[in-house]
Amino acid sequence: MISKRLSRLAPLVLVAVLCLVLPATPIASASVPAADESAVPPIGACANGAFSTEEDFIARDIKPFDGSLYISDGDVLSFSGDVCMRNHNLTAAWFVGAVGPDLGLDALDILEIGKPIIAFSTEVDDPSGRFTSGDLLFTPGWAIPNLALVYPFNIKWDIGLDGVQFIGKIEDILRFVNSLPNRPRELFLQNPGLLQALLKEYNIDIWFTVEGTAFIGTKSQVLDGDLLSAATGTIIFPQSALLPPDVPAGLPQRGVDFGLDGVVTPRDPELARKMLWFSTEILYQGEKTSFTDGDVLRLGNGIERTNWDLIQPFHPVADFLGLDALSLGSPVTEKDPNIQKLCGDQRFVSEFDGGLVPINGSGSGLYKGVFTDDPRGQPCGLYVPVDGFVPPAAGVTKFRVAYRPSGTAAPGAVDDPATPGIRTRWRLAVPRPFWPFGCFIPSEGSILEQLLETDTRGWTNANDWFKAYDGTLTGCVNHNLRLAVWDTNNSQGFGWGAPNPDGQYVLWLEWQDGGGLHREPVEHNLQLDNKLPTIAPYPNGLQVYVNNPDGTRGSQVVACGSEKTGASKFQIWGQFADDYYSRFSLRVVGGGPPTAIAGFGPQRWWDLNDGTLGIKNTDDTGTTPNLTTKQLRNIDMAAALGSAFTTCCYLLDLWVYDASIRHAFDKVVATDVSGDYYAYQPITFGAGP
Amino acid sequence: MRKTKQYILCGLLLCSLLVIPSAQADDQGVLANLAACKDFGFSTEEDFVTRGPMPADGNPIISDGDLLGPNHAVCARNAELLAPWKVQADLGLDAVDIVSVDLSLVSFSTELDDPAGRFTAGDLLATNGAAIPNIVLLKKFQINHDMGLDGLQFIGPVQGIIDFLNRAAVISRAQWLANPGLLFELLQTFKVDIWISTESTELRAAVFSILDGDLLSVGTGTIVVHQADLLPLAVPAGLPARGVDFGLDAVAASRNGDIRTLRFSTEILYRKEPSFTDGDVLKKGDGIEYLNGALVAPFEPYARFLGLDALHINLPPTATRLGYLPYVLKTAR
Repeated sequence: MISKRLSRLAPLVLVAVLCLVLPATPIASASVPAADESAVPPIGACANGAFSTEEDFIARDIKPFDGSLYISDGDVLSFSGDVCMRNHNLTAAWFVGAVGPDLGLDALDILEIGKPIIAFSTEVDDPSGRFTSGDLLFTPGWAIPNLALVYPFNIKWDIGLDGVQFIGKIEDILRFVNSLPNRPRELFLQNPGLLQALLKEYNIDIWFTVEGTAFIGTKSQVLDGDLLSAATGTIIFPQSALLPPDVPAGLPQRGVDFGLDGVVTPRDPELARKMLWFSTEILYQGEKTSFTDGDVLRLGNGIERTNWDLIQPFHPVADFLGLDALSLGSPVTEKDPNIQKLCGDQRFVSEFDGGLVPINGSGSGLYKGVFTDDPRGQPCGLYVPVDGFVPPAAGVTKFRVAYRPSGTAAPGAVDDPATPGIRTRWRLAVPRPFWPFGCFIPSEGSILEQLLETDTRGWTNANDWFKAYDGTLTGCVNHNLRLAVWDTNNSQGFGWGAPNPDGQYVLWLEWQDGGGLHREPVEHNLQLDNKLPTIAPYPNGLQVYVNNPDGTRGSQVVACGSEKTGASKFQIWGQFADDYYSRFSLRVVGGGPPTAIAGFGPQRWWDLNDGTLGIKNTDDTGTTPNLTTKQLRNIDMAAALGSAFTTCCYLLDLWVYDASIRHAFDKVVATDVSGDYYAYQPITFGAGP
Repeated sequence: MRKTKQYILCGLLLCSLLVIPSAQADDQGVLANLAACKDFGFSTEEDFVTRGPMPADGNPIISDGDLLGPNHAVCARNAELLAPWKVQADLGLDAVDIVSVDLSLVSFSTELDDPAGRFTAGDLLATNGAAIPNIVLLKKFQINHDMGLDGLQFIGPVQGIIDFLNRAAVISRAQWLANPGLLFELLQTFKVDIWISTESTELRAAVFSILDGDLLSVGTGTIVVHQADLLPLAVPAGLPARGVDFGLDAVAASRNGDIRTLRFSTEILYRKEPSFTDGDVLKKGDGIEYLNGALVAPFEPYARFLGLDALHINLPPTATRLGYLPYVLKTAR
């Protein structure tokens, strides 16, 4: 009897016990992909720069040197999808004969590829206490304690090390690093001033950022968002100078310390003060400026590379993995000026079809890079920012972005009188003459307004441009300046010889230096589009029909009319067109309560259907065939609105979006406003269950 | 013999409880405003200036090492938390658990090591002076190095936790390191567990791999919640199977250890649906509880996002599976 009861109870008791026990039992870890820990790391793959992520992930479709697709946040990664070094490769000198633990990677500067010599810091301390996560380490096994780095700032504690950049001639830097075997860590601790003396002796500097803050609110304040100099004990760039004026960066005046996580510059001290890239500790979402803590930012303004740009070559399943360490490596410096970006800071010329071709080379001029899913590509309209590389030290006296219609031959000479250049007028930031002091941009026409403007042929005075950029022209930095901003739709009405607003053009850079006039040996095709989508006028633009049970079209529910049969399923028909059409969306509003809303779409022209299986009546110029009203999709009001679907009047909205990349421009900053351009048409109809 | 040992241990513990003064706010008003964080406390990733009402000490600059509460409360400055060590530098605040407001007892970890070397950024600290080395916390995972301490939640009866921390306060760092097993004896004695998350990942741990996105039990040496189970299925969380470790930055749960009450934040954001930032308070497997903007809004900062580093929530217990047991047994009859 007892056994019988037990046997009846057994399954339930087993379930109860499992319910209690399972949550506390560790699930056996899925196996981590095996790595060949003796494989030789291909550090050369990071010659042009490297980075690390905030978190671990699994890479796909790449072949790491050790065979493991597991990427640690302590590994050194290239910009083209290579794992250049595992974390244990970096710290190998401290763990001879064994594979060291993954200590993370916080700061990075690749000094020499050959040996290699890499300066870096870790996320956590050495288990044996030989270095802390704030120390500056070198792959041969040397360490400079954090206390020596921050000694000139009168900071007497380990305040962490978040980013590092060596400044000076690379030969001098390597001579300094090679002197470290004679100067063990303890020596720097006994004489923390030694480092500063050595840096001066070797005529180099170490720019760095820290994890913590010190003396906050005092004159000696050091923020983790400041860029510091170990040689001079000064702040190279305070937090407030790194980010544009509309970002509240800097304490206490502007209100927030965004931190400074990764930092890279050229090694030349003059260039380094003008060309600095960095990342922050926290994201910012403002009206004008937005960035994440994984993006590579430019000094003063703009995103140089998004986090996705960095990690995309590794094909991770997430599109954001953060950014911790960043190094430029030993890049080959561009010698000649050139155009690098069109239609905004995130679109490189190489991402346009025909965007980087030999002179007279062809292409559609449509953007096909990482920021578009449109298989045809996107044109550009309204204001088109053009940016690139003009080295301040190259003796350039003037430059211009020249253009001609696509299909015409390139002029035989630079500064051809028949070839126009893009004309741009900039309003510059100037010192505010009254409290609160600082910089501001005077209103247009104000007596305080200072302008920087191209001449009638599009030539920019390079000296003025550089001085305006770095602040020496007006006393305020203008890091928002680009090579040119093209008013492709004559929006400013200056009568500056506006181009065909929907034409295809070829752009190239021309410049003058001591050697005379020059031009780029390549050209950049660009398709303009300022034509907006159009929806056919009522009654053809948007129509509602009953969807019969067999899927055929039923009676039309005319505008302001009422469907009487109790149907809840409808066919939506429409007619619209645009040379570069992108997508449409529908929305139904009404019912009880009258605020019920149901959205349908967006449906993009390249989607397999228009929102309903088997219905595909749009292509890249709108509804097809052209000039016909076609079935867009079906909607089920009962399913979409639920209990709110009552006998009522409903509003049906249709939005048709343009594919063009458009920027606004207030003569200060070019802002992407692509999403603001669409055609809209509503219709009302009655329906109910 | 075994019983005798137990008596001796209990005796020692009782004696120690008598000689240790329980943690109290001192006469100078240290932790005087802690009550404002009784039910909710947090710290940000970065420093900022409050434009809300001026904090009681007249300083509008909020450090990422300060303990903040609802309604623009600055519950404790970093220096107040570190008062037992008389540390002048701001060492940040990485994890927090407010054990008892009445006793001004807060357990926490810092971002930086103690300048005097008395504790590391990975150690578990308490305002009564307790400092348990990180390496001891990880002993049952057979990891012999400091992996940092990113999130912290004590599990068990509050009085047990208080007694545990008071006992821990008189154990020196050297004693902890010499006898790590002491931690587990005390946890067992006071029926307490410590749930933590670490800063780094250890794939070569002797027992099993540990991600910095896993929630660990110090007392049992197990993973309480895997990274993959913290976030909804649509998020590719967990390694290696789902592809990404989102980290586990801040953590809070009810003291009865019901994992359904878990609240936490991640180290990195996620942009696809269901999207979240690394400053939002998330519910286990179920979306956003508080947006970062809502947490910091009472301070009227100049930016809407300031990150989230440490988190304490006084969460009520929910029905545990034990609650279902009578029903199961009754049905079985």
